[in-house]
Amino acid sequence: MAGLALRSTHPLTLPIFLSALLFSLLAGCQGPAKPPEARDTVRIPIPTDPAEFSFARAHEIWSLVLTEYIGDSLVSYDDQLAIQPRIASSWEWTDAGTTLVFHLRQDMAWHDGLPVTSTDVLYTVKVMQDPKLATTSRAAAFQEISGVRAPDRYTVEVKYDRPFAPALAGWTAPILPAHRDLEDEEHIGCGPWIFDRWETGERIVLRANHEHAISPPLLEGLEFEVISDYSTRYAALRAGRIDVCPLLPKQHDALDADAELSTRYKVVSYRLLYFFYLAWQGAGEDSLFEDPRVRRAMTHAMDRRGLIDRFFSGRGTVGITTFHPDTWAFDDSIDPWPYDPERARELLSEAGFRDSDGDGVLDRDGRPFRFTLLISQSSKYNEMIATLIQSELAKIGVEVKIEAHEFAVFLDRIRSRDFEAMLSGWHLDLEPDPFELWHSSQALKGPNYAGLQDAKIDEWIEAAREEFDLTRRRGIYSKIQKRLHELEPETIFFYPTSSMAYDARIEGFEAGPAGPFRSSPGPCAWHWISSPALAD
Amino acid sequence: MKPARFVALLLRRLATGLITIVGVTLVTYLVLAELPGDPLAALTPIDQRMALSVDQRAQLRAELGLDRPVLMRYARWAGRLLGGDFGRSVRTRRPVFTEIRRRLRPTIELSVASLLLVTCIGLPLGWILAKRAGSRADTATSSLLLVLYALPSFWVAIVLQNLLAVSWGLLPLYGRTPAGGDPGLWGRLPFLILPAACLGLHQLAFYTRFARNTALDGINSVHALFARACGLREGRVMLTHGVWPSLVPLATLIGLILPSLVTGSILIETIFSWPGLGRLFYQAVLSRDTPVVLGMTVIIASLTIVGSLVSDLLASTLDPRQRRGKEAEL
Repeated sequence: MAGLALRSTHPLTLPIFLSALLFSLLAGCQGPAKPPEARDTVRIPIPTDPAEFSFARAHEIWSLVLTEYIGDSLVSYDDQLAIQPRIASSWEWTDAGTTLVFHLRQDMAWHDGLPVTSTDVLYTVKVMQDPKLATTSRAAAFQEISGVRAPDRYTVEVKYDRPFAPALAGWTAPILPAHRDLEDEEHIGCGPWIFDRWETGERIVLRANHEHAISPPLLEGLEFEVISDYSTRYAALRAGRIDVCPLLPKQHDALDADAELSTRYKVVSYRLLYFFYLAWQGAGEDSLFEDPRVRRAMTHAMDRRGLIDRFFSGRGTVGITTFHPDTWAFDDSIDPWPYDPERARELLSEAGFRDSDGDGVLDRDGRPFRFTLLISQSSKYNEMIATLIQSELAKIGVEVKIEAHEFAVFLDRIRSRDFEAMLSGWHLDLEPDPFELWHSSQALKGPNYAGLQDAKIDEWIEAAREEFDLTRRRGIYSKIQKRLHELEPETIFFYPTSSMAYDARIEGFEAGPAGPFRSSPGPCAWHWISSPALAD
Repeated sequence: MKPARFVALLLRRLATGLITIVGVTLVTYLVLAELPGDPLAALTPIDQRMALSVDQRAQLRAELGLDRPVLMRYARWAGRLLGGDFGRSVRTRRPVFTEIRRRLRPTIELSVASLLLVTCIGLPLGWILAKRAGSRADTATSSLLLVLYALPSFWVAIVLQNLLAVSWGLLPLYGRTPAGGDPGLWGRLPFLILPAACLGLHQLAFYTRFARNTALDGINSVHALFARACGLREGRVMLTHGVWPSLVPLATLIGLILPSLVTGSILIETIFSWPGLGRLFYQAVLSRDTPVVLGMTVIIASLTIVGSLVSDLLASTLDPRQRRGKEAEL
């Protein structure tokens, strides 16, 4: 027979031969899986390349994190959320709380060797106040500054038009080098980590700045591996290709159930500075949600604990208001509205809703209680929560239609207030000032999407901004929380708990109030038990 | 084909290609402009909290020329493109050309590896099966190929990852280079195997079936019967009437899949964290990053035009009848 044809005596000879050939090729490529070895760097997965390496333009979470690692700030939060010195060794308020004077350390240097001075602080204010240059959301804190001057090389005076207590929190933003361009490809900073290289779409490598005056890292470097897919990330953890990995609830359960993996990796759980919420469009006379009783009824009708247990393996905390339970301003005397469909029916009845035509849907003045819930397709959780809301509200006679859009469209709709109710998530700052969330001035153009305009809340927010005594400020915030709880402009669905797996041989890995990456001291305190750096 | 006629054919194809590119980019531009959603959403990809202030948005809108009429914006973009300027990404502020150039090489590597896999395994396998048509080996392999064709590639990718990379440690799980730096093409080869295999999976099944059926038609034809009657050896008959005729339609198809190898790898690039153009394109569409979407559109349209030209040239080289047809057209 001709040479092209293979002789075979069995029908499976050909497939078996090809498989054997493929496997023998594969076997030559890499050895069998080895247990991961201790290293002096830590590998962390990130979902995408950071869009920016300049803090002034950072608008994504990983751009912010990386620029915060490379840079350093005048002050920062400690693990108790108190403001602690960084580049500024001390500070004081003068002129009745309208001038903030910083005294800078004299031993801080940029990664290229030049000292950090007051000129850099002045330059930072100039950039952050210029909307052409600074496009980060954190630039907002700098808009309150009315003037800044440097009496000497290591002193900075910052002026505000009126007393502004949350001002210090704004200075947790990294300082920019005055001698470098924003487009600079070297990404020079003065922080504990030095930018080493960026391999597009693959990884970003930072190396330790052991000369850092405040918190020199114990590791030699950090490697941020770009892995978009959640299942690939988990597989990478299992294969020992990464040392730290955020876990989905199901992955956390799987890791706990695997004896070998749960020995190799520890898991730290922490409440995210984030909440899922439903904003009820209360503005406008034709709104179904103008009456606070109706909004409270919506909250009572939803089994939030049940949802957390069912979809998130119980990892989450039922929400009360937008004040986070882990911040100092939180008032723990307020309990969340319980799941109580009967109470929800009573409240709706008080608000005038009845099923007068017997079609199973409540109505008032001939208008059925029917609304559209706007969600974004950016997270699969949105759809899960929206479906639950739909079925829960159907039980009390409220009909919900779900409208899902990609995030760009969703954002456009909520900004133009083109929705009846919407479900979304919100990242909180450690500074609890609720101005942008609840002040009337934000009801039409800011993030006060529910359109709440309440004179009392406005007055308290403004008073808190001028109150420098933390105890008294907490008292004011407590009043705001009680009022928000009563008005319920949004149903704060829940605060999710995140889980982070890390190699059991890494020491110093703490969750902290802002998570393991953004809390102080963060990766600067991480080290391998058998780290060569420590052995030295 | 005579050189003068070849140049005339090239020029004609170039002219129609240019018109096609203008048409495609104009339609893309208009569609992107009309789609709901803000082009500045590229700067707020997942979280409202990162949203820009009203002042920042107005400033950026003016800077990016979004306050001008859409046709004027297109004309401006096209004018810059003629000068070789693809513009800047809204999301990263980096030049679009740089963004594309950084990801071009990994994409080419993956596409070429996948094509090689398809042609080097698929075609010979198809010919062997044609030779043994009707045997149990043919039935078993054809059934296996059918199953491969029906399996979703992302599922196969995840299964192979878990089996070959995680459990057995035979191949790298993801990425293109090891953490220590780029080890060169040989060192990168193991990283290529899984994504290239998964990317080429459906095409492998398709091309094997295609090569088998075309070759089978050829060796069962009257011409082949006549050749055998004239005393030609079986190998020669297979080569002339089975292998050679099956290459002509395949050459056409391979030219046409060139652009799909760039865009069709989004899923595989995501699963294997491959730093290619597919992910860039996908992210740009989601975040309404118009300059990047347009830059990619120009590249894909160009590849389609080049691919179809290459197909035509290959086909006319392999098949004298087509060559004569083309010459007659001219």
